[in-house]
Amino acid sequence: MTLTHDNPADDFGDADWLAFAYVAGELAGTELTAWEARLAEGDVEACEAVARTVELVGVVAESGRVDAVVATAAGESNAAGGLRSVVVAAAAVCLSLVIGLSLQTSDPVRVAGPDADMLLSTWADGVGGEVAETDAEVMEPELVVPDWMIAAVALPAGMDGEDDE
Amino acid sequence: MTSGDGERIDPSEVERWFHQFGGPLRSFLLGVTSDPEAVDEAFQATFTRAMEAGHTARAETLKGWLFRVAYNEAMLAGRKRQLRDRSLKRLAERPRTETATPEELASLDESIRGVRELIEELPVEQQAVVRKRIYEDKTFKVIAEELDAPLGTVLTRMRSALAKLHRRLAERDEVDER
Repeated sequence: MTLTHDNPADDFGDADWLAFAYVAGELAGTELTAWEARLAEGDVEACEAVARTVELVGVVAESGRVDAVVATAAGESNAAGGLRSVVVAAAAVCLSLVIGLSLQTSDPVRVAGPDADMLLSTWADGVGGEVAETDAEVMEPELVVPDWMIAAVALPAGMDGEDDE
Repeated sequence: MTSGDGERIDPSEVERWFHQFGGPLRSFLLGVTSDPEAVDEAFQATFTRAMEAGHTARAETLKGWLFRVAYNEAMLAGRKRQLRDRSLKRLAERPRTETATPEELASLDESIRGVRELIEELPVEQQAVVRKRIYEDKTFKVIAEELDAPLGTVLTRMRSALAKLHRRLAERDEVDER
């Protein structure tokens, strides 16, 4: 392979080009022999061209490694972002199901009357700990009030449990 | 370049050579051997030889003398280690020099950024050849076959790309010297 250039119209001369071919292992035969003879003689132009080529290849290779690292990091970031999105979406679906089911299973009874507010408050304080586990559920206005509790509230004074003792 | 006894060189003179020519000599040795361990061995032997025989070197041909000594030491180290063929891949795997100053490392990082930008600005055909030859360490012959292009065309593309990259690094060196 003849590597010399017929028209080196730039500052990258034949010595630099031959140095690149030598360092890359592309020189062979008489071209390699002649080039190595120049190096062995301490031909400054040839030796400096080899040193420059090593620097050049090092920087170019390093820039390629940086590209690879950036690409890898971006890929990992995208993968992590995708996983986060899936988790958030799954959590949202679960929350929607919980709220939907709780709304469906409640049997709203609208309580009217003068003692309604007190009754709701009492019931909520007394049994809320067993049923309502979240603030949202405590604030739920449509509570199921048992009939016995309505009847108990309606009893006249003196008919409650104190008289039994 | 001799010390008082006329037979030995002043060690401070060799130290000056080390600072002035050490970097290019080390890169040169890496280009010749493609082996960082052989480089260390040959580099050390070169300056040992300079201490022993540096007084015979003439000032006007000093750099050539050092390169010649370094090449001979590289051949000796290479024979001892039975070095494999040269390859850009092994050359590119070398670690950053531990002796580099923060300023030198910053300058190197700047060069890497500049070269990366420049590669992206190259014509697509030249980019392809650079990537295949330097990143993938494929021979020009294989690249020509893969690209279905004449070998001469591939060589011309590589040379054009190298010329631009070479110019960019030369500009960096000029800035560093100011």
